Amino acid sequence: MINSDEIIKKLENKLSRLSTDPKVENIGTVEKVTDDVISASGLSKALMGEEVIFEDKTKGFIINLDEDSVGIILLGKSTNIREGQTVKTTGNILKINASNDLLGRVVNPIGDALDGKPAPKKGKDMLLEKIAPGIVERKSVDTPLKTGIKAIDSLIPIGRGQRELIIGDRGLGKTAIAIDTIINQKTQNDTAKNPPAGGKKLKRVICIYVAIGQKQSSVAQIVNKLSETGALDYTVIVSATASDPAALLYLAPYAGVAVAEYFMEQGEDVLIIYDDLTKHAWAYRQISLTLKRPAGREAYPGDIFYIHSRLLERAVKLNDEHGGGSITALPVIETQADDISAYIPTNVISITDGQIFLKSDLFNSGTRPAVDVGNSVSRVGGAAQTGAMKSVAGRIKLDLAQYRELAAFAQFGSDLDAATQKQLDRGKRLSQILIQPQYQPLDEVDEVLSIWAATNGHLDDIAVERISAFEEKYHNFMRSHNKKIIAEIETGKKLTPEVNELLKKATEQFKKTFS
Amino acid sequence: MTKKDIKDLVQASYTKKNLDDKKVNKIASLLPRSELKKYIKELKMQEDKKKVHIAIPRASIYNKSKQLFLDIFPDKDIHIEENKLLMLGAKIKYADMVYDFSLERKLDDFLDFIDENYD
Repeated sequence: MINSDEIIKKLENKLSRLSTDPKVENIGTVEKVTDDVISASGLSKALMGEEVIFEDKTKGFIINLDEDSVGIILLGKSTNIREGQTVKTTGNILKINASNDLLGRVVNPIGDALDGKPAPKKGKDMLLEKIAPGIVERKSVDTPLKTGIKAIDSLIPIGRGQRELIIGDRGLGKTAIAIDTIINQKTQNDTAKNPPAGGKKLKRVICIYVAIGQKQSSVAQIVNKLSETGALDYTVIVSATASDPAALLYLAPYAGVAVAEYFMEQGEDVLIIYDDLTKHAWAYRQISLTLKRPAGREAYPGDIFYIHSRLLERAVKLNDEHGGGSITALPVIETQADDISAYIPTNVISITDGQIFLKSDLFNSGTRPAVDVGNSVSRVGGAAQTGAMKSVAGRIKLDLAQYRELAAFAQFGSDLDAATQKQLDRGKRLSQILIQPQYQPLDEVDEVLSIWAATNGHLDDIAVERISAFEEKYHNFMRSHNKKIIAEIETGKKLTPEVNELLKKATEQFKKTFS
Repeated sequence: MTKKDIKDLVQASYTKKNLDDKKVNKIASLLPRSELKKYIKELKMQEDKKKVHIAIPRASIYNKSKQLFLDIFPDKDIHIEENKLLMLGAKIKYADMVYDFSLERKLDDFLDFIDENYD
């Protein structure tokens, strides 16, 4: 609590330092108002990206500098702005105020609270537009970011500092993967406080969810779910919904990464989810067309690639000399009819370090998460996996690939030899073990147990439809009766032959009791 | 007609740095409607550049400081406006720049400082 003497002292200090220099403002006159884009004359000394303020206190920022006029996009409603009104520059480049008080809060891209609580405490002003860290400041990705989703952690592992795209048609579970990843960090963050003996100490992960162009009801549902699961405590939500001006939709991801950089500068690991960049591209297209910028392919402006590349380049793993923090980005892109060769999807695929491709026929057939393992990739790969996971995941990738090859033949209904039939049965069980309900991310130990059991043939005699029930009881059994094995897996080290033998005995023991 | 052509026409409308009515009428009569609007707008901008608007708390202050303003803005048309809200100092508007030397601005800045730093 600051006392009154301190306040008076600070005010007197400020008064004594009041400068005699004039306040210099560059003013302009509104010429045209079109769909939240204003054209104003004057403003000859304005800077690109500079914040401006209108007579009615509405704020905007400069996005176009022409010979005799500037293009301004509004950060509020344009209903009170008229032709002939005055607009002034503020001398400020767009920024957002970030502090630890933002954790658990829902804010808009300019930092205003949207959750009905008091304004967040003042912290540090972070620029929305910033050059990404250079090569010298970076370090290779070597620490896993665990999503808690078996299909991803085993086959498409994500590391801290990586950019992994989540791509698929509407309604296939892209946001579900993102939210499950956030929820899973609760377990990780709790483990970070009390790391297992012999295990690598991982830092907590702060999460930032950037909602771009979504329905307010969807954002409210996400906030509720995160609050219920206790995940909101370490999450910041930056929201620009469908009813907000296009300028806020355009700025939202930059505001999100600016907040992420605030935490990264303190040495923290941050996860940021951009949901979704397709709507971000649409908003930028709308603004560019209104500014009469030349339209290119699919009416997008020429710099549509750059708005995403400069955003995603800010996801980084810093070396220890620069604090060791990281930002992991999970951008989301929505496709139409599974077409990943469209303009925006191909742009973002070429920027990111891999993609998680969700397919509609997998979703419709009940495979959820509907991850197309064949077309999904993580370019970081095993560097982002623990030894334990790596030792079980290698087999599953190969087995699934072989299964996919053979599955086509199985449809012909021809007689198959025993080895082929066994491969097919194994593949069905592997596919089944990767199915996981929403909002139930798993700890890495449980993931390793499930995949180990599947790849070592312990599910071959279990009916496919009973595998989910088997898995749940198996996890409970192992945790309650085999603490030594659990402790070994928790260290994250590669499974030794002794541990494998212990696992085999314990699994066989469990299967006798499983009816 | 390009922007440069319009600017050239505007420059041609002056005789010895003053707007020539005859030239303006002749040019205006030859231009189509759309170009005429641009020409008038450009003329207004050009005329604005010749003016300086000075707001002061009391008109009598200008009489004491007249020579100072004439030295700072030679060959400009100085318009004086009384605005008691400024309290002290002056506010000068020249083209699209505003230089605010007033006490009102200093106190507003002080209030903003309080708003930003204290709840």
